[in-house]
Amino acid sequence: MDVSVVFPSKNRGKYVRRAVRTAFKAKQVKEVIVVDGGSSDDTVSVALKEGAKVIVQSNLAYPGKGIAMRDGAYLSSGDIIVFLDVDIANLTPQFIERLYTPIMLGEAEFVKGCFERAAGRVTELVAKPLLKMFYPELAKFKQPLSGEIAGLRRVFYQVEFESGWGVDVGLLIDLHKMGVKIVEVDLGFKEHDMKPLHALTDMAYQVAEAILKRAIRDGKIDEAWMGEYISSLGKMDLSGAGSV
Amino acid sequence: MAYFAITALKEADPRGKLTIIEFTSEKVEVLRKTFPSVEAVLSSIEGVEEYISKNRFLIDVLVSATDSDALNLRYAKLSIKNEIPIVIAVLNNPLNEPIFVKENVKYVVNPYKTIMPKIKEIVGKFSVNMIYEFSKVDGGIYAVKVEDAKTLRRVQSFVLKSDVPFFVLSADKRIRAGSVKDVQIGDVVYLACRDKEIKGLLKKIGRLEG
Repeated sequence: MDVSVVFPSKNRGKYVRRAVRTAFKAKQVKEVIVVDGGSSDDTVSVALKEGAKVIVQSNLAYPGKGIAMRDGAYLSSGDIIVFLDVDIANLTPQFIERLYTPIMLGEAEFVKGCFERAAGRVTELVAKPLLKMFYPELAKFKQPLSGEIAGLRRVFYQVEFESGWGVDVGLLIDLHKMGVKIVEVDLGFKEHDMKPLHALTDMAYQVAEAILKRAIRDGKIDEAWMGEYISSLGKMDLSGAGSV
Repeated sequence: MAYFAITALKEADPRGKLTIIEFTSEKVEVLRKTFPSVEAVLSSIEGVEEYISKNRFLIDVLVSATDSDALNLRYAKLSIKNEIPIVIAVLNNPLNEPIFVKENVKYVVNPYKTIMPKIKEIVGKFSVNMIYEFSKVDGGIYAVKVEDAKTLRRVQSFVLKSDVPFFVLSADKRIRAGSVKDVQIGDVVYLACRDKEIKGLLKKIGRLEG
């Protein structure tokens, strides 16, 4: 099976050369695609020089990670698509191979990567509580928002991509609902830039929206649920007594 | 996007058979109601590719106008490979135009391409300030600053020839009407005239491209 590697990227010229070169070194990788979010630096020219296919993401007014991933998936021709953040400083070919191996072996159709580090703030404070509430079967995933994923190309063509930061959790919920075989793979240590807190506001909103939208769609939120939830709030001790 | 493509194709070839492929049943339903004479088909991303390959000898024109340029490129490339005579791709992001051109997509519609010339055309029309636009005729009150001797000569000649009403705000902030011969460099002349009349003047004083 051939593999396409997709890097959504915006103004990441300093990382893109290494990322593309590393991806091409991984076994079975036949193409590397960089989906640019309208960079003002040399991301596009560097990616092209390194032999990547490049497309600028379709939504001109509001560039979003999900749109970039969708465009990357549509441009891909490999049997398997691997999506990676472009700014992983310690990216190796083995890192990519570990992501797609369960699919090659027929053990999964979709793989979610996780890392040896504390999960992010949006993951712990937004995604995990909401998943536990509405999709408890997915609460076992250590990093449900991880952007390092792999899947059969055909499964990505059967789901709708959220336009922004809700894309990763949206894919997880939708593919799970479709009955796609999903596994989480430990990718070891990931070295990359952490976002400052203020930059996480939009992300938190979009992740919450993606989960709640699906909870409504799947009939998990209705008046009965709301009533039950509100009455449970009344029983909670919100005085702070007993807290540290 | 689909609406414009369908309308254009219907006008270009009213007798031609038109098929539109959509990815959701809701969109197919809407298209069937909006364009009863058009065949609206529900398909998947890969189903479109199968459709193109299967009907390659029947398709005269393929317009790829999805909301993803990646998908448009994919369908356009496949259609070219299948020797469909006319392949048109409609762009979502104008920055992708060179990519389509590089992939030999001959007809790339860039909806943003009209923005610049159109704005230039509109603003060019008013490259002197239009102070007031008449509602019933194509014209208004225009302000022309007399910046140099050439402009002064042109404005004087224009007023005399066209006999348009005018008044002047002088450099020393006085408002006056009267003889155009009294206009001086530094004055602002307010002219009440039609668009076509002012255009001639603007061309002559170099404030409207020929």
